[in-house]
Amino acid sequence: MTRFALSLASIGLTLLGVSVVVFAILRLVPGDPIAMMLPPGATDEVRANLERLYGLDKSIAQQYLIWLGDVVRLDFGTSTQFRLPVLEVILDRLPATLELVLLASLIAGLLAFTLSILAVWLQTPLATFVIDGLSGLAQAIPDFLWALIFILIVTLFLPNMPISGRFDPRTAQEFSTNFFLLESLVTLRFQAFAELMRYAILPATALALPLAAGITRVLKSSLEEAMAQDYVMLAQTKGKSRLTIVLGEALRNAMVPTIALTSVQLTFLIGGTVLIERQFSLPGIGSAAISAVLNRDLPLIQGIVMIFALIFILINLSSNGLYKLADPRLRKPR
Amino acid sequence: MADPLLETRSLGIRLGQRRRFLRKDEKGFPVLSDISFKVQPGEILALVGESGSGKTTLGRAIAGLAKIQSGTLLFDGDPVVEPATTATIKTRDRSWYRRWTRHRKDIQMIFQDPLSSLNPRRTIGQSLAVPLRNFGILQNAPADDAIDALLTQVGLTPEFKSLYPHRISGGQRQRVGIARALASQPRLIIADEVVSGLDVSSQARILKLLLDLRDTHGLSVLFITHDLAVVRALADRVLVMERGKIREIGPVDQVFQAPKHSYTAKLLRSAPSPEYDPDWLQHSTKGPHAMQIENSVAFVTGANRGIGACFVQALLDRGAAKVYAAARDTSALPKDDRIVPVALDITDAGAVAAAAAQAGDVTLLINNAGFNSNSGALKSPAMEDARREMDVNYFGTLSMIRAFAPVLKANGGGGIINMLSILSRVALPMMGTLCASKAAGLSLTQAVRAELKAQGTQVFAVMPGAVDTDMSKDFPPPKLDPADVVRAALNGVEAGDENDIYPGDMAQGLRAGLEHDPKEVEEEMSGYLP
Amino acid sequence: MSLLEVDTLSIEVHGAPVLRNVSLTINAAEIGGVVGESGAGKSMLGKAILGVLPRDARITHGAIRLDGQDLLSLSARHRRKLQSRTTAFIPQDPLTALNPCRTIGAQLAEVLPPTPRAHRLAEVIRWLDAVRIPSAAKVAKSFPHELSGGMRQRALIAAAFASHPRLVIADEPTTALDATVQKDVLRLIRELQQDTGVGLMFVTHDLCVVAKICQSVTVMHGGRIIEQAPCDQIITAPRHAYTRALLAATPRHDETGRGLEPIPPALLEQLITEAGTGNG
Repeated sequence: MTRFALSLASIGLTLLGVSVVVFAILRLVPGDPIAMMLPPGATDEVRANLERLYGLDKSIAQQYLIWLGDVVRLDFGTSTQFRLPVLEVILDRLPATLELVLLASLIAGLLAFTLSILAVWLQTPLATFVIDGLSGLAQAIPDFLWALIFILIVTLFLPNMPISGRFDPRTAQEFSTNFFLLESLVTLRFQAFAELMRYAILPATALALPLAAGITRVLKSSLEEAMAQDYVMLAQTKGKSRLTIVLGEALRNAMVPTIALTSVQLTFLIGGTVLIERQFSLPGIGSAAISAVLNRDLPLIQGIVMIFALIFILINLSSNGLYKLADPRLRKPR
Repeated sequence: MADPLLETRSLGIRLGQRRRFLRKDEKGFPVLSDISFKVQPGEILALVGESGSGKTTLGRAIAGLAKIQSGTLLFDGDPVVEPATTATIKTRDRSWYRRWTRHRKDIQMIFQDPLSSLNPRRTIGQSLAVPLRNFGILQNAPADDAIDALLTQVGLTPEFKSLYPHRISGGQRQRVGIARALASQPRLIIADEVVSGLDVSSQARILKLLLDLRDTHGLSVLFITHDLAVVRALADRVLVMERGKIREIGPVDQVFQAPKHSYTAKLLRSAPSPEYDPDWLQHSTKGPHAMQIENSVAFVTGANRGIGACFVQALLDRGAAKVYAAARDTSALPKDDRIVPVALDITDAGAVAAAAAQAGDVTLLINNAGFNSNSGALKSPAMEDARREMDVNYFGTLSMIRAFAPVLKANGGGGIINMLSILSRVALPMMGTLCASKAAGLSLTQAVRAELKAQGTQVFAVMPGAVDTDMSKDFPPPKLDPADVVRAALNGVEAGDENDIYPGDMAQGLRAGLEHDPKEVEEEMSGYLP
Repeated sequence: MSLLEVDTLSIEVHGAPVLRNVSLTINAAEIGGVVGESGAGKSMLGKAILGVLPRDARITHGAIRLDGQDLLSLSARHRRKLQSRTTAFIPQDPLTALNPCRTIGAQLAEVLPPTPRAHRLAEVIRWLDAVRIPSAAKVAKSFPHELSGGMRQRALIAAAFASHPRLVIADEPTTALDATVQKDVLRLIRELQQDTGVGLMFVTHDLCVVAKICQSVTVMHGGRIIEQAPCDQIITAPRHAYTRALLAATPRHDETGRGLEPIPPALLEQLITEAGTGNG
């Protein structure tokens, strides 16, 4: 119980630290948000009114405390750009990003597991060469460049493939949540799902490729290490085929380093959504972040950073839990 | 006799101590306690023990690589560790580490695995140069000459200095390890399992090298090993360790020919020698009084339920010829033609004598019957209950032993198992009267063991932690399966162990705690109520 | 006909010979020792018989027959099928030979001959009991790191015998264990071997252990067989100078001053020259 309380407290502390840093840095960077909002030639009185409206006439510490008090109540203020509560903007756009991340991780995991298991199973020089080469290529090219390459290829050879947006606005979809992909799956609307996937597959794959390469490298070398262990030799003497041994004996032992790397890479992947969403005009948190920065939309930036921090913390926590699931030696002794 | 080079007085070490943020500090567990011995100049003292004996920790502690928490350590008469410096236990306190600096040059350690203790990115010459430079041995002389001399001293050639550790064989690496230890011109070398990974041929060379170094330089060696044969080949004296305590110390020939402690004897019985003997495995590690359950005739009291019923079943499973199953109420006993029901109240001395007369063929007596009032010492009407506990648990057992000792003698020795509880060793609040009766049972067991040794009867107590039976239904889990307790007890009979048996993690843990720090166990138990 | 016949077996790794013309037989219900120092090729021999040679090792000559069946002439799949039922292996290091992520029970259950699912746990517990592991039911659900080295080795022994093999190969099965545990484990191996009548090939560097458990002994050096004889003869009247040197280099706890005679370098050189000229 104390363990649980302590980990909750550490989450709180981390978020508090993030909030201080975010708040301070945004106040320290040059640039005046009020000036961005004012029409040209506005009077000082209008400016003072606006400052009072947004609380910018108070001291930095006061501003922080007021803001923090609101944040605790999930009130991040009003976006200066959208003139909507920040929470509303975030909740509106988060699903698109989450679905993108989820799809990208699934693709990355599928690619990585298939390739590394294939490489370790076949164990031929050719397979190793091809798979190492592919993963090297995927890792060397960053996700936004993959996105450009895909857009280029698609516009040249597959003109019907959409390269912007989440869905076709003409076939206005009726969804009760913003999780379009998930909802269409759950409600068994496969036609709609396939249509949505046509939009989602390119950005998700662009995001997934570097991640897949990273996972492949770690998983493959961990699998190879596990395959050199005595228990694998013993399993061979029990008449198991190589594929059974890779899947049944080695895979679980290769999971801990893989989870460790994936959880780190996943945070990069979430960072990567910022550019990808922009490139594919996806209405996600990432594209919102860019326009918030360009427009000095301080409340929105703060809200987004806090949400990202929370997501990163959750990823770390769940990877700790996954370690224990994968490796019994890390569990508490019974 | 000359002044000892190294002397320890009541050294004690705990591992696993940890200060923790916002949580209870971890007190750790004792790995060494009450370690007192001396090493003379030019002497090779072997430190023998199995895994978990604490021998490696002791070696590391003397080399200044582990913290000593209590006792005194003198090197060449200079108190390196004194009680005054060990009183405060702070995990971040590194001052103990500095105290060794004055002797760091004089005490050097060689490790079991030279591959992991030599830096793989350094050539052997570079590795050897480090201690030469750090300890100021060179005094402006060129390092190459000193390195060549060291390599020659350990039977290698100067060409080795340009090689990397992974390029040479295990035996050669171990010699490099010795050369590195010799670089600082030490007076005491601590060698931790330095030959255990080597072939016999390399092993012989390393042993010879150590003997030569002792003869030519008067070096003292603390030789840590699990291998008794190597001890015999090399050491002058031997120190036998078990579970963090010294069991025996003396000249090698004397200890090996006439071991005083039963653990030393057991180690010697377990060590094979290169002599063709297909029967050796049969007489195994068993003690002198080992007996077979198969074809034995057992007498079990309290046989109608709980552990007693388990005993009866296990005895039959292991092929006992006949089991006298005694209880006040014999109606619940299973039907089997090898079971002889005996209606018996063991507090009735006349009935006990009659039972002994009836069961004249008994070879194994299992005193299992017990009584637990489940009430506090000061609670009324506890006096009656307390008396009854003493009557059954102590006087009952006593009259059984008195009645059956002659029977066992007539049948060639046999054995007596007294079923007690870990409560014989520690007192629980609210159970004081029960604990007292169990403690009386343990004292009785120990005295009777000595008295019956002459007639060849094996006597030991079995002291489990909480067992899953009616009698301990109020205890919190985890509880032992009674079948496991019975298995441990009968295995003890077959192994002929002279030691009492503590089945279960709880009893094992308490026993270890009691051996090292009885006070702490007492404190811990005071918070424990069934 | 012997249970196992290895006939003039030669193996190369990257062109370098590691076994040269090795022939040996092991009968049913017999314990045959294979003794040698590191590099003698004794573990390679065991792996060759089990069919788990490393990929870079190549059999250049010879045959391995089990019950008269030439194993090397079988297809890989057929051989694996056959050997999973007929041969079993007891490895050296009980810590690395059990998969840390799977329970003892699961790892034992998979070697059992076809057993209805409902009886499998009971059968696993019966085997754990047979190797005298206390609290067998609890241990079946435990992971390897929760057991001591001796218990792990017992579990591995159970796994070796549970498949009802004809031949068991034990590679230094007690080297990693404490002395008092070693003796119990050796006795256990011999009891199971005698009860089941399997042939046991006991690979070790330790002449002391050989002297106590083996009936016949093969002494190896540098991939060659130096001497083959009944155990008592090897120990009491060795014919080859290398065997004598090996015995002289073995210290013993019941005699002072033994085990300080390294094997003479001249003898080792002579052995290497003999091997080079193919005289062995």
